Amino acid sequence: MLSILPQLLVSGVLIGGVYALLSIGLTLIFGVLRIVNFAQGEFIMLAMFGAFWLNLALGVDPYLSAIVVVPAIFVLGMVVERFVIQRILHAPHSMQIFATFGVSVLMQNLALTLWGPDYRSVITPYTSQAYTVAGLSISATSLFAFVAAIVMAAGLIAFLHFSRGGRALRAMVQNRYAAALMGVDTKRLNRLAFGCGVACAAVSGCILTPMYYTFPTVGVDLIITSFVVVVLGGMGSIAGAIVGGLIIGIAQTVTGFYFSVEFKDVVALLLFIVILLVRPQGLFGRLGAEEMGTK
Amino acid sequence: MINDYYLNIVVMTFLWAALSGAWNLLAGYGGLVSLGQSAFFGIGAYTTAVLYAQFGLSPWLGMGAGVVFTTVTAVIISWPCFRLRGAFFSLATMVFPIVLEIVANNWASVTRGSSGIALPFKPGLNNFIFDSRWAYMAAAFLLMMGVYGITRWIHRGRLGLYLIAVRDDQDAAESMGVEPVKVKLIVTMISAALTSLGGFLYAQYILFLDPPSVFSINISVQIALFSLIGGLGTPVGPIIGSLIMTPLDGVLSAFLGGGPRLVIYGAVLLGVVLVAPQGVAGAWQAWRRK
Repeated sequence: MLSILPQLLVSGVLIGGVYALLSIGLTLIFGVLRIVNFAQGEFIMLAMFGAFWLNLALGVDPYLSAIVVVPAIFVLGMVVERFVIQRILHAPHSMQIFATFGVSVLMQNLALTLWGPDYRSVITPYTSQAYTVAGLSISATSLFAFVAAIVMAAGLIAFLHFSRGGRALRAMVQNRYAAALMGVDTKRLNRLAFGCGVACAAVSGCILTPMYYTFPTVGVDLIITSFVVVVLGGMGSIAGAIVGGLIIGIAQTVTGFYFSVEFKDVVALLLFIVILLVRPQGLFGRLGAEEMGTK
Repeated sequence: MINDYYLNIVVMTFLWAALSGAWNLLAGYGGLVSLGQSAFFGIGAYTTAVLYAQFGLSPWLGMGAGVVFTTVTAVIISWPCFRLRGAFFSLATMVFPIVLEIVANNWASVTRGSSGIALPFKPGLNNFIFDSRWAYMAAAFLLMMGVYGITRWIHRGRLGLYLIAVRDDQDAAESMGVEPVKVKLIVTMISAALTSLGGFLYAQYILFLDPPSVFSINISVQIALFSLIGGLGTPVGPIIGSLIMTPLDGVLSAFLGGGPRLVIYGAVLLGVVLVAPQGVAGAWQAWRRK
């Protein structure tokens, strides 16, 4: 039983990379706007459908389709920010929750109405391809997702710390009004941040398409895990999303093997509750982050 | 002659108004925006169903057991969550119905798993199962008025003031001597007990339960939506919301499939939040004050 542990850990790390990839956009949006985007999973779903249709109609590779899908979702995100998010930025928490929840219900069921409830999948030459390294099997699609997560996180962290725009963004997070007085265009930055956040969701959607089914409620399945990852890592922390993703991925793979597959989700959810109780700010988060910069 | 179709809509209108009213106590007054009310609803429904269908115990006993069981569960799961504020509280509450649904699906020896549990149809007051929908209508009406009465009592009393103070600024309320945890715990217990009664009534009326039909996130959303439309934090809001939405929902589901119906739900939810966050009752009060 123990001899399989290295393989379980490798699979767990790879799955964890996928979870991290799904969570980076969510944590970015929370970090900047202090809003938990309940519709994040639906942006992933839309990107998956985008990749699916491009593949079906034109035979485009799902990874390659990101070139078209990601900018399209970015623009959609900016539109949603303009008409929904901007108007509830200073509203009570309950209204913020229900606004993004409303967007989620709307998008999910528009997809259901337009494309039906069927599970679809894209088959590529590399879908079931695996590499064997030192006796350990590594799936090609998971490896790619893992690498993409690391690259995306590194890129965002570099942007936030070393570029002018990133510095303005961090200034705004610390103090919205002071930043505005210093000439930071907070409205524009908010819109860009939301657009980037859902664009991250779109990237993860395109990468997920060859390894998962595409259906209208796929976002709900994905977003619950994402919430767990982001809360574990610390809402607003990009490095936290990576670490949180890895921990959940490993925990799920190991319990799924040694106990039962049905209870692997329960384990993740119980872990979630325990973290909220023991360290509500998450591993890399700061206490009181949900209200920071809004007052 | 009023046929069963319309009576069913009336029963459901009262039931949803009661459920939404119980949520309104939590979210509207306490600022505890729970997205997990279906956990309390499902425990109430499953307790009576399991005790009656599997063990042959009277539903009256099931009702009592359900209320006690739900209230105790609510205290255990909510107490730790009170440390979380705003959206984090909502995130945590969302998790419990998902866990319960997995448990109900896998604990087949008691809940009969995903195939669901049917309550034997033996009409009579001692079984709380009736031939006529009028009886269910009366029961649902009583529950709705009970919730309304409790809400009004809280609204006018000391507890309501404490709740609103904690909702609007917890730190300030605490510095004035209000104990936030105690106040939140009391309102959670009341809300859970009332929601459990709603679950009991649902089980005795529909006579069939399966895990997704009672633990689904859609139930929690619907509960919240009705209060939002009617007016959050007003005693009459949930009733107005249910009076508008339940019949509309009946019409929509008769003419449209699940997808388009929920598109309209999403649009209504978004529209209310953006255009009239104070709901119908709030808009009416604002208009009268002019």
